[in-house]
Amino acid sequence: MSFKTKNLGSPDFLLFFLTVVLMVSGLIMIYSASAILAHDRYGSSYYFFLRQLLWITVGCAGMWVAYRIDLEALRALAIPGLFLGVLLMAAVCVPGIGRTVGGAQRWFRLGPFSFQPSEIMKIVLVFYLADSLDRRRKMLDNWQSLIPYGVITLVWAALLQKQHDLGTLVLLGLVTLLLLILAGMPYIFGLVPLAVSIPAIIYLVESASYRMKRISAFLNPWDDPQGAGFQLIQSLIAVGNGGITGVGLSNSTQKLFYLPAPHTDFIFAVISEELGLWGAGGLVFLFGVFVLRGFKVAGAVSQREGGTFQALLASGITALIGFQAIMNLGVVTGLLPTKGIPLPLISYGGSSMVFTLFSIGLLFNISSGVKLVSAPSRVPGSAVTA
Amino acid sequence: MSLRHANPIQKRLAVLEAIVLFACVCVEGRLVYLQVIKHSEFHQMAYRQQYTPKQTDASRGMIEDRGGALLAMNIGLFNVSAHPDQIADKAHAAVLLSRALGMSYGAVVSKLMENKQFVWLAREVPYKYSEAVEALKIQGVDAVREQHRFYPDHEMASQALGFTGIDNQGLGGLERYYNGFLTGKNGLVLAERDARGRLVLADNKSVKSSEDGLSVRTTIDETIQHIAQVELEKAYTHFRCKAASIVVMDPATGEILAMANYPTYDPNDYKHTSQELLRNRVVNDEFEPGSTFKLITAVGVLEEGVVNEDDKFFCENGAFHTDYGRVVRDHEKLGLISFREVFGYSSNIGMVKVGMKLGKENLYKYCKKFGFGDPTGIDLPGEADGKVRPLDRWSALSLTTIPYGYEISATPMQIVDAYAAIANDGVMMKPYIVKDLEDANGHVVKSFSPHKIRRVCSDKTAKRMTELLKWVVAHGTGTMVALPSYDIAGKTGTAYKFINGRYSTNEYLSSFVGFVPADKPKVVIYVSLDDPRGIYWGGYTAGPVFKEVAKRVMAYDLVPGSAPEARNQVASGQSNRGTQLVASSQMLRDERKVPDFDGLTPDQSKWLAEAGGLTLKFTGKGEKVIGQSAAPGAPVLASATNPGVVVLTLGKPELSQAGGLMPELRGKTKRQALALLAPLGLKVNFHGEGVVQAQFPPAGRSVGPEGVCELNCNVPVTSASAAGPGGKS
Repeated sequence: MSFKTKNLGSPDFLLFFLTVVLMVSGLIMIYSASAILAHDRYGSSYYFFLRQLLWITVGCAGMWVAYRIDLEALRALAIPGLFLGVLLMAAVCVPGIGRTVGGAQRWFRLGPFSFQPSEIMKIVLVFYLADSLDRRRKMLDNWQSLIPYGVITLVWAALLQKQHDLGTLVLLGLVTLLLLILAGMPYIFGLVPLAVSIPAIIYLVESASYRMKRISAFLNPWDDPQGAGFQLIQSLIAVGNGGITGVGLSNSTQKLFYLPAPHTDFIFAVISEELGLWGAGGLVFLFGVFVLRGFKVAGAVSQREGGTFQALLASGITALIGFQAIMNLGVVTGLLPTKGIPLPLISYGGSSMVFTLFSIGLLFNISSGVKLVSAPSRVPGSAVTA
Repeated sequence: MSLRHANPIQKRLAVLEAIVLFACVCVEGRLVYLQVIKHSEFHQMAYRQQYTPKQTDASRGMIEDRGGALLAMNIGLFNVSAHPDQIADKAHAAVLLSRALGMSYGAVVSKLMENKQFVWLAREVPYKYSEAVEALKIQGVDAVREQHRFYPDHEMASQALGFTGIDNQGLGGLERYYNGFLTGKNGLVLAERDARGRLVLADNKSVKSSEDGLSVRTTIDETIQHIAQVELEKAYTHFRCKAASIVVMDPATGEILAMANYPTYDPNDYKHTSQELLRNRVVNDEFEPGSTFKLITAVGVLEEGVVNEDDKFFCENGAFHTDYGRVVRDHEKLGLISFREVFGYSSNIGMVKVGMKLGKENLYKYCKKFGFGDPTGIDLPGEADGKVRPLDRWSALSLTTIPYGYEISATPMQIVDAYAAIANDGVMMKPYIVKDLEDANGHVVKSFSPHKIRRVCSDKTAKRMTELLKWVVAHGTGTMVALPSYDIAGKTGTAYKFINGRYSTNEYLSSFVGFVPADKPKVVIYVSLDDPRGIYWGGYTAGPVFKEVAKRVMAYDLVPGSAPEARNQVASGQSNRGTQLVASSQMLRDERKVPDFDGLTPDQSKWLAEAGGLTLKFTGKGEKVIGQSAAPGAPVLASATNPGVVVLTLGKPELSQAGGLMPELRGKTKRQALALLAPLGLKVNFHGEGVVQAQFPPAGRSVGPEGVCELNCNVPVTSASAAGPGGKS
């Protein structure tokens, strides 16, 4: 099997441009949000900035590889990849191998760095689903054909629950459901996992007191402003304090240890405070354009003969990034209960950055063969495939 | 986009796009809600939690002596605190901290192990400790600067200065009386702080800037205070007194030059001091003055003209059975003696008879004239009034007690002021201890000038009274006090203490009060010893203190050149030479070691030597001493008959021979002339008796190499004080 390059077309310019803009703004904001924390904790205000720069470099290399790789050839690795992902996810749960941070055992330690296997899981799951659903798309209206996906979902969901990673669990559940539906599963079947997951989520929430607290803190943060509601209140204060124009780059005061994770999960709060509605709203706009553009690429590639796999892959990757972003923004602005979800391309975090960039590399790869034309001129093409 | 031509994936993607779009709109809407509609609310919340109103401490004003030497100042001390819950490795932190703070490991670790949010590790430690702690950079450990009052001279004038409490508020003495001026106005800044409550220094918003307190420049002379305090302490210790007090005052102005009480305390450590020691007995305590009060009776009869100095009184051989059944006793049996002797020998019986001549209305009048029963108005807190019964409540016995100082009570300050009035030709000045108030730049904001209270008697009566007081020292109960170089006017007092409703038979308040030089008084000195053991007569206990203080103060104050120069040096702060000189003389006296004369003027050397009982000889000419025959620190070789002699070599004069110039001596007494000539080391030949009428070499001329000076004296036509440079020769 060879992974030699398939094409030499250039990626979609808009996606590329948005990726660079988001990545660079993320890097700047990481420095702004973490300098004081880094100085306080490590004695150098560049600590997080430099590490993130390193990960971006690694991620860009991964992105280049993903961009040039032969996707059709890579499909052969879909199932082994899934197994590898599940294996790593299982390994991290083994005491002594996985590393516990903040009560959650989600990391491997590799020398000075740590690495989160759920980030691999995201991309291998999407890749597997795109591959598998493309092959089996004709059978998806038969509920029995859906059983394997249910089984697989139960496996990784159990592992994520073991890692107390409810955020990723919900994210991957939604992406799985989305890909099933895109592949042609009747909408009505989508109610089944929802029907199953609602009691499951209620059980999960009730089984862990911290989740219960988060939910109640989400609903009523002011009941315990110094305790459970602290994170959310501090986040809302940061966002609200920013106002329309913001307090100015690097001038956030909420990052002075008020915000729990100013450079990771709550970096959007710092952005909102420093850059105000223009900056924060602009960022949401960029993410929105990115996601819609990703789906547009997926839609365009789906019109190609045999393009369903790539369309599903592009949709899955876009959804991974988009849903993560929406969940993170929802948490920071108090629309969703607090979950440990980073803002893709922006938040500090090596595993997340590397695999996000790798995924985007795949998206570039897909987009490179596609001409995104305006609606009227695309009509003949659509007619052919339909 | 037209969905009609879309494939199933595109159709479903369109639904998804709508959902994503909706989510984006939700987030954008939420941002508008939070950042625009609710902005001011959240802004206030951020402000409230991020900015803490923080007081900026205004510096408390200093307290200085009259020359500017600091008596009370501020030093920055540091409080080291810890948040134990923020310290990761407590055992390791405790090792580092105990080393940095010089504390035991156990003490530090037990504090860090306390289940508290906040603990003090060390309070009020100097900068070097806080520096060491900060160098450790331990998370959760902070050092905060705090201003702290410091009294560099410790026990010096402590009751007069007072002290400040933990919040730097004046709690006693001048610190309390002038607290309103000393205390500055604190400023207010909004200090940015992080979630851990630590202050972020970058961005403080000043709401109100702080204003430092005014400095108080006292009338106290550091050197005189030192002299007074040292001499008083000696007597206090020697006689094992319960307490002792001293006041030195300038009678012409009412300025307090020195004020001390024993036992005393260190205001730096007032917390470990008993309340009793904090009292400034000089103004806060009142007692029956005894014989020193006889002054008032004497002034009364002289002023009213009912008794003259030579009028005779029969002193009943020591026991006077009055008509009212009370027996007045004297300490020695006296017969028919003059009023001068009655006063000079301090006869109670004689004084009662004198008082009867004066009558109670007049006696009461003079009590009030001298201000008894009313505070003197000195600027110190808690001044006692003293008690003088209203005339209508005087009993028949009152005239047998009040004339010699019983049945009334007074503060030492009132007694001092009464004698000062006589020294000041009958004009009583209001005593005061603060000269002026200065702002932080040294500009005088408010100054206090001498304030005349009233005339208590005529100039003439004051002069006659002075002669009586001189007689006390020359011939009466105060002969122990006499000095060879200066006339002293003074009065002894030995009062029975009134304890538990009756007069004690073995506890006395011994005192001596007077002024020097008698004819042109520079200082009034009051000394009292409470319950001296062994000998209790005022003349023998308090008297010697008076004498030593008078001698040293006069040497410091009156030897030409010496005092102003010493003062200037104190004032300019370049070297506390005045204090150094006193310290050197102390060394000479107590350790019998030759002081270092190097660089001193002949006057200063002479003063130093006199204070320490050393004889000096000068060779060479010049302003400054450049060599001495015995090395500094060497023991003084002297026997009872042969006082130690040190030969000082004077160095090359650079500008003039001011040190070797003849002073103006015409009009001076022999004693004054000797005092003035002493620094020159001349052989003086007197011709005749009386005051100097002519001198050779003349004033302003340099002393000849032969070192001999001839003075012609004669008994003056008028009183000595009338003569002067313009006197007949």
